[in-house]
Amino acid sequence: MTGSPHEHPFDVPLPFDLRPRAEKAVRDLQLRQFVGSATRGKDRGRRDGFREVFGDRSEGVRTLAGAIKQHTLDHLDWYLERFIEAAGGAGVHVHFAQDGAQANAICLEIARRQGCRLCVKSKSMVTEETELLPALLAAGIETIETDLGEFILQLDHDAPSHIVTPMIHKDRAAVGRAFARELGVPYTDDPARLTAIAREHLREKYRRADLGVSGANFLVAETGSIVICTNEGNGRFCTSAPRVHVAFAGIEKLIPGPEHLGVMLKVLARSSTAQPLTCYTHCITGPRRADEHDGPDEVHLILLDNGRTEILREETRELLRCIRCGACLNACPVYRRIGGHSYGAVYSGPIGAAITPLLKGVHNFPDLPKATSLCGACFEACPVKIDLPRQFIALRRRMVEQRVTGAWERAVFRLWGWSLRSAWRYRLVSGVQRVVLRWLGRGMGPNDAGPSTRRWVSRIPGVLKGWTGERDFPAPASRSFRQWWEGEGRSER
Amino acid sequence: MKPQAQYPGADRAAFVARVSGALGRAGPTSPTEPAPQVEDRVARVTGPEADLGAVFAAQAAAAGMTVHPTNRAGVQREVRAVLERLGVRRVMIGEGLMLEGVAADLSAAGLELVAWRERGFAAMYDADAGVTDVQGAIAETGTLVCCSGPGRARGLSLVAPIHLAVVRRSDIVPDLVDLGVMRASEAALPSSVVLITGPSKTADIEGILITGVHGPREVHVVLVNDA
Amino acid sequence: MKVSLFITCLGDSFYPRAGIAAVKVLRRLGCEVDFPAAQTCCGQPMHNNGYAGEARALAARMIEVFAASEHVVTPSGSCAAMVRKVYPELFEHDARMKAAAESLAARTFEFSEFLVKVLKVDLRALGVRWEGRATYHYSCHLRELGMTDEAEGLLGRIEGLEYVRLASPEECCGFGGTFATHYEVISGAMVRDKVADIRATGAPTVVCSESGCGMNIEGACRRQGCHLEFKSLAEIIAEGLGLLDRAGGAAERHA
Repeated sequence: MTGSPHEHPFDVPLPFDLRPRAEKAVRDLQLRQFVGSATRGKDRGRRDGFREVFGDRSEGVRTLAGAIKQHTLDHLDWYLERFIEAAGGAGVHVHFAQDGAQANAICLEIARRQGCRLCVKSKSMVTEETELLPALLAAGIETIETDLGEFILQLDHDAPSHIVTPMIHKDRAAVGRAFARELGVPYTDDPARLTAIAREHLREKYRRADLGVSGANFLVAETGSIVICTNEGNGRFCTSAPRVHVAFAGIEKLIPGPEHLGVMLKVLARSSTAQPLTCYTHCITGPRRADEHDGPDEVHLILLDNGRTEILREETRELLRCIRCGACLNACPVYRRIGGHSYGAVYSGPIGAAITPLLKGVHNFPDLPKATSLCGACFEACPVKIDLPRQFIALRRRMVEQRVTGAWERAVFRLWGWSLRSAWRYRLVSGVQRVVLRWLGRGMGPNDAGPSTRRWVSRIPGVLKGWTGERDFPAPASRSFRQWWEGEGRSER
Repeated sequence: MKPQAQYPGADRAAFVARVSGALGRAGPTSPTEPAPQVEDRVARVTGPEADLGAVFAAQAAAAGMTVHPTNRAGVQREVRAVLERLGVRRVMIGEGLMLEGVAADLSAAGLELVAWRERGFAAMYDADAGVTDVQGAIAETGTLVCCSGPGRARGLSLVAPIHLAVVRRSDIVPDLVDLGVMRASEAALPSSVVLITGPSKTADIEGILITGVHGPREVHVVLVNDA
Repeated sequence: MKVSLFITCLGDSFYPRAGIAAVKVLRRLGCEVDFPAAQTCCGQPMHNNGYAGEARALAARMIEVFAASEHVVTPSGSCAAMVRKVYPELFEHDARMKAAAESLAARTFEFSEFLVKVLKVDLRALGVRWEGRATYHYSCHLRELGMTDEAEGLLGRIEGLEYVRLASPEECCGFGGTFATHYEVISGAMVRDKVADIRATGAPTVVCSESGCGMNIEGACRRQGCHLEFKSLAEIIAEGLGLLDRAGGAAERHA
């Protein structure tokens, strides 16, 4: 279910075809059960948590969180400048990367100047995006992922499949095998034992590490602070034990001031893991000071654009409100069935399906905005109220405009639309449809077993082939509503 | 200010200009409307009228911490009792008003004091427990606020399997939105402020909750009623 | 009270009985019902698939067709959501049309929503009696209308009806228009789970007011050889008031 260990799930031929992966995932019952029960549990926890604490104020606090992010994005250049000044004033070295390659190059240059040989890394989606790990390894810097999930994925040459719980697709036996193979420990599948093994192994790395790499959950413009939310404590080690700390952050992480941080924290962990707050919320404002006993001598922050300024344009700006809580993944009926690797990119689930095509081109990921039933569960779950269904529709519009959508489909919809723009054309088309479908459904009608009195069609070629692959298609009723109305309906009392 | 010109990557001005361009303007200008107000009726969960000690204790317990209530005179006794019960032999102790006399008391009781001041993290890996005070606490979530500073190393609340924090009832603020207030009252933000809400934990393997992954397995709070 | 029925294109051809039931129930509740004959489709398929021009043309048509209506009631939650939420957005740059769209949006209701929010009916007081065990499918578009458990509340007020809630009522059935035909394996997995959830209730009747969901779920049921009865809320109420013959549904639907 994870693919072969040597084939990276996000190294995909373009344009990416979601279907084969999704079909494979759907058939993988263990994966579906795992991802299904984990996401449903988290989704329920999120609902219960909000209801319990905010009651009918839930809507209001989400609106406020969304407004805080939207306001910052509307004035992002201003807040960036404020942040850069404040962080610089606190002694943080701020760097600017237009793309992932630049961000990695900056990090490597920092490591080179400081003579770093061993890097401990905490979980960060943005470094997944820039593919930092292979870059560090290629430069000869031993690098260890220290988040338990990411550590296991690194050992097993696998990739994360969920923004928050990266190894949601893996079971304990797979972890046990990877530990036995890669760490030379006796096989065990006891999660407590496995965790203890990882703890000991990683402590040894923390002792020796001279470079710590992290992401950031929030950047506070007013104070220049970098805020990192974690549960395991590895993030604290990575940002405190080595003498150099390098944080990576997308430009959308900014918020105006500390009072806004309180609000964002209230919604983040609750939406993410149904906790009131993560175990550790670490607010870093500069390196260790002269009178302090520990902490890094240098703190660097790499601000990353990498396509975000494209998304910042008005129509798609709301997507940058995302705080990567994963609530939309947990709520999504499609994600629950196909898992994260089916999305072919670092960001999966509904938010991934919306931003990947924007970051990498809709023509490269044409399935992502379409492989959704637009059910709106993501929108309902989102703590910053990103209207994801609306964004999917906007992407589909873009695909039609850019002719990524096939000529045949475009013709069908235009013709269909035209037929509906007059009552007589509509009646003609429904009449033909009734005759054809009822003819196809002959012999499957009211005489069939069961209460349904409808005729059904079990196989239709063409556009409805996909439909009848999974279910029957109903034939129209013998008499339409309109015919009833024009007969007795209008005057009946 | 910083030697960024020698680093790879983009130039600050060009980087910000691109952002301005996406926003449809020539350069950063001060926002015409103020940042959204954080109003109590929208965001506040715990108000100042609440019994902050009780709310804090309940939330801290819910987050997996163990709370030991005591009074001003009982701090040393309680700290020692907790550590002895847990079989702690090597302990590192931070500085702070509430911790005065604690080191001497524990030393007299036969516990070994770890000298962490000079060697920082390197000295901490062998400790069984870290004892700290806090620079604040949040009732809403049962959270400890630990700031770095002289006598207050980052590792004291992180590296050992047990963290014991002494919290005064008067340290507790009601709600996370009061974080803004805390900042306003302090001259310069410490280089590290960590909000601690429970022991280190993970649910990465099949969603099964395990405590003590990298950080402390147990967090004990000696809650001092100084009202 | 004057009500114009918007039957929707699927409702007209595939689910006329739901429309007939809605008309009969509304009349019983004292509404004067009319059916503007020029109506066709709200344009939802075009909008959802990215054909904004086509959707806008159909929206403009709908706005005109229902311009004189006091209330517009439709048995479909998704079509109601299209009118309510999308129409004003479609005319963002045309102040006159935007105002007209907002006016129609304010007058448009899904059937159960209309009963609850506008007519404020109490089915128990009305004497609705329907014997049997039934479950209910919550269609996703009700979310967009800000509806949660209104229809369930109505079912609870029907004498004789034993309501069994689904284990995961909020989970999409996998319809999603072209999604069901383009990504049939994903959609198929979703609807199989929905069918399993329905079967676990042991109810022989499924109350489902959304045509698209109904086609999907009932079609999947049949493919799995499981024969359940699918009815809209309007049909249940009409039968419960004796306005439609419960046993004679076959004759009425396919005479």
